[in-house]
Amino acid sequence: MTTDKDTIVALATPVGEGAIHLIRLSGYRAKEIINLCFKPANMRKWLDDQNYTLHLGWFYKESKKIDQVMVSRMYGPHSFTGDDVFEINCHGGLLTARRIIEACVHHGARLAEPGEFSKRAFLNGKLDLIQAEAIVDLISAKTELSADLALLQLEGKLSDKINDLRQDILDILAFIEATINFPEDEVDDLSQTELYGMLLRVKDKASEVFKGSKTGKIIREGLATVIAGRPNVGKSSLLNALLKEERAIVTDIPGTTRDEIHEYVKIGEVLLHLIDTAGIRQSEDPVEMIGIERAWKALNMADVILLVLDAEELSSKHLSTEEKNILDEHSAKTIVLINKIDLLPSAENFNYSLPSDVYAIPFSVKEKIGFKELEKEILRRVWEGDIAISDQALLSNMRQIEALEACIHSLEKAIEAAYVHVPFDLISIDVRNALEEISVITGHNVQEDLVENIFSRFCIGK
Amino acid sequence: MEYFAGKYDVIVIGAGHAGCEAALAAARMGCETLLLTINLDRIANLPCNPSIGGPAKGQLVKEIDALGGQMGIVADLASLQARLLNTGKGPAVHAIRVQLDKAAYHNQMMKFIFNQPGLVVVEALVEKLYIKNNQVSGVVTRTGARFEAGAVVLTSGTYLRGRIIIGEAIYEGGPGGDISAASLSGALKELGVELGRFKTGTPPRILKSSVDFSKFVVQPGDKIPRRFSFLPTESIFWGRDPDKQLPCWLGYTTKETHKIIMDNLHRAPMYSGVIEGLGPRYCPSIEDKVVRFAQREAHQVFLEPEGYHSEELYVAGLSTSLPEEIQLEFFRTVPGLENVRILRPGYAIEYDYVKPYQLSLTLEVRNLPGLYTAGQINGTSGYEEAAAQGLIAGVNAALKILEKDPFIVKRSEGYVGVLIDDLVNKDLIEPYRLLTSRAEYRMLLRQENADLRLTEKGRALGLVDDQRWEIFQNKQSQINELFELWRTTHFSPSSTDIQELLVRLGSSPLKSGIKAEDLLKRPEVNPEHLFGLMPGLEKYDFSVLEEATTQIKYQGYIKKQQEEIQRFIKLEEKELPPDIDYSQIRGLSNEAKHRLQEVRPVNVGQASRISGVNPTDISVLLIFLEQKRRLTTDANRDSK
Repeated sequence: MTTDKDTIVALATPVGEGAIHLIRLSGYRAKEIINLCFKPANMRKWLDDQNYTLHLGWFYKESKKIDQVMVSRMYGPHSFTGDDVFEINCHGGLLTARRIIEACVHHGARLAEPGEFSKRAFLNGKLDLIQAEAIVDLISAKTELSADLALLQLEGKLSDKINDLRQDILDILAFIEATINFPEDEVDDLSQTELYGMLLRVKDKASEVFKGSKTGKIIREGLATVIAGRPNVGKSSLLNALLKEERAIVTDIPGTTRDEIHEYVKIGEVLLHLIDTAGIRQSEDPVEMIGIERAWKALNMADVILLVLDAEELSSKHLSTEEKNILDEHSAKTIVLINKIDLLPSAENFNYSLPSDVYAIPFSVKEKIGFKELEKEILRRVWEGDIAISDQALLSNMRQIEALEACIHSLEKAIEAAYVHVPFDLISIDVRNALEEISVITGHNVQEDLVENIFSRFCIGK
Repeated sequence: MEYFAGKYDVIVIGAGHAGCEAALAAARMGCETLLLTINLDRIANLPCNPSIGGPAKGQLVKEIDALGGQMGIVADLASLQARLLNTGKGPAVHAIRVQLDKAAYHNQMMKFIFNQPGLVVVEALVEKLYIKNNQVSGVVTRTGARFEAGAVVLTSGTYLRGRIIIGEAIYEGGPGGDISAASLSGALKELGVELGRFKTGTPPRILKSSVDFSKFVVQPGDKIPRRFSFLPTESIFWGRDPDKQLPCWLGYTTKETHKIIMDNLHRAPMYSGVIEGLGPRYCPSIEDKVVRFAQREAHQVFLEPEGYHSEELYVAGLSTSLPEEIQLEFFRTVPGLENVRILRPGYAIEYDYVKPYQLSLTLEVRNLPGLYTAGQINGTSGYEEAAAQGLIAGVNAALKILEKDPFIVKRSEGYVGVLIDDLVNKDLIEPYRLLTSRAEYRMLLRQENADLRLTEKGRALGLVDDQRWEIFQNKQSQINELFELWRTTHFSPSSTDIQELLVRLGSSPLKSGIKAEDLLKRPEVNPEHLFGLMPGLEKYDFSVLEEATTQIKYQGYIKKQQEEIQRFIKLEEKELPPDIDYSQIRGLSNEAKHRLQEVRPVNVGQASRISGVNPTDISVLLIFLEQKRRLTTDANRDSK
């Protein structure tokens, strides 16, 4: 269970805005955690332990440098939340910020829930009564998204993998608990060696899922992106603008399939891996050029679809069947760019009819309108884990990754304990923690499932 | 014709395990107490298995004892054999299990009940509750006697609208051939109490002389048997001679047994749809086991003596409600039972229970002040669970009369607390049985430290007499002394004695000096090994050495759980006023509103454990409380 005594961490600056980010760490273990991650340039000044001071230095995860940062120190009760607070300013962009948060989590902090800093501040008397309502709204808005729905956000394959993993851990715990609670019943004896082996196997499985976490893939391989749209809507000029902008590296790598050309564009910090740009370049009509089948395959494979529509046509004509299909089947991963917005009379509210769940950006390649918004939206999706990487069983958002990492950590502790023949009862503490942590992802109730599992698997009852 | 039959402080209805503890506790706390039972010959009856204890339940009995309750002492006196279970699985799950002489258990408990000053026992069937000024103020019996009291503790077990089922034979009745309490159920319903229906069952009893024991494996008691009570108790049967303990016997069912059961499944009430009540999964009938675990070729059968001189055996593992003639048929397929004679058939029993969300943590029915319920009537199973609730209900009934603060054991303090907190906050889907898995702080709730956790509380209540108090204080000071000795004793690598010992134990030899307390942290080193090397060590009681060793060896785990408790307690200290209208709190989910309104938790910690209340709701509650607090302080300031 989360409690007010946990140490919490989160990004304090809005996602997608600017290059400098502020990360806030708050709680009774904040000082201990910062000491594990932060190497100040001026150690003497740091060790003076003066309140309200600012320190330059490097942020580390274990022995790996993440970024050069400024850390400000505010001890409770005279801080925003009333707890000990450290604020970390980093300039390496959003993904760097994410790594810093991961490092804090790795050392025992937990991701703050929405509104949690404010909640603490309020409970510690730091905010006035008027603000309480707003905090409640913030907190309860997340209910619908949380625990019980958590698994629905996962792709089928991933949820299978995670559920599998959870089931394995549950089985181990139920085995231990059955032998403890029903020592004379028909529960096969579990030896220390067997338990050790079972724990090792499940830990390896967990590590594999962890290694394949989605952020890792996005960083390594980029977001698979398709630019779609009718002829003459401005796809190739968009592509050229993205390339010409020289926002980043452009490379031509011979593709894995016959005639595919892969190009990479960096937007902000995120690498876009453009699929089937050959089609766009040569014919302006990928559907015609590469055939319907391949076009749909590309759309299915994409992490992000940039659907370019013509602002003028949109107000006069209906969407084409292809456009409708994209919006119907891929609305979650599609960003609509309403191009040539500059050609509309400026004051006019363009009245286009798009489904309400589609994210659309008024855009103009020519006048460079909307690029910022596009960048921000892509970053937001990467950050919040909204991007569903197709056909890949990968963990996406940070909360899930944090939970899995904590789970692995607990399994490691259980393995150590089993190795030195600590009694079952004590090993069960770590296994139980592992189960609780992975259940954060799946949203299951540990206590009830455990009892259920014991009774369904073992023939119990004299 | 109704007549006034007397006035008491506390009336306890039912003299089973819950009723006996409730009545004794109330009387010991100075309340004039009346104990009513349907049948005087059934006081502290053991209608199912002839044993007490086992994992979690053993801990519970030691806690009852540490608080000054009766069950542990009576079980030790009536003990036929004692075993310590789970010895290899960690100190916190060690559990004593004692086989009992049922008649002796009844007789010994009777002695305590009849000799307890301030306690009156009467045989009577209660038909309704007497209500005055919206308070439960007494009871009316079948014969018209109206007994009045300031508090009533209802411990009617499985008697409420009890129904016995054996195959196609179905009749009204309580356990063991008693009559059922039919009208009390209706009376409770009329008062607005929500009832549910559960079922449970018991196996047949057989004639000892009809068993061929050569086909069973003997299961003796321990060589060094443990006791439940922290007081010096002795079995009236084997005293200090462990060899005189009675054994149990282990055998197995066969394929043939399973075939007969499968062939007659349509006649099993559980499968023919006769039984509507939900049964416990941890206590399945043999027909259930055969169906659900079809791949198993044999199931265990334990033969347990019902008494030291009894000719009857209890057949654990073969609980059944198949027709009588089928019971005999499949029994005779168990090797060793070829010529068995069944003395009493197995049966299933269905009964009404009070849905426990209606109770507060004192076990008082929230909408019927003055009425407490305890034991199986609250949807639990097990003698031990019943006794623990009886003790808590009796204590709180007495505290109400004495106008003192209620007594609640926290989850972090004892299994008693886990049990009652779970009952009130969780939805029951089957009779509730305590498991060690249900305790978050299992490492701290060891049976051997039950006295260290609870005896001071029992003393404050007036339940712990001088003898128990002296034993407790002595143990505590011995433990402290021992810690001091271990802290101040050093072993040097130059001592050949210690090096030789370590080699013999397979432990690495010393390279530098070490304190005894650090040496004892090594898993392979125990205090007994150091007897010759540490003068004075052997004078300590076994229980003292054991407890101190556990505390040293598992320090890390213990400390971690204590830290968790600190976090847990924070929410327990945030009280929720009784008059909150949860439906009006913005931001709570609808389910949370409903459940909070229903259970009415006393603090935020309890709220967080209610099924259907999630962490977000808890955040919202915390903010609501802080808002309320500030508004009140502001209002106070303004009015000054």
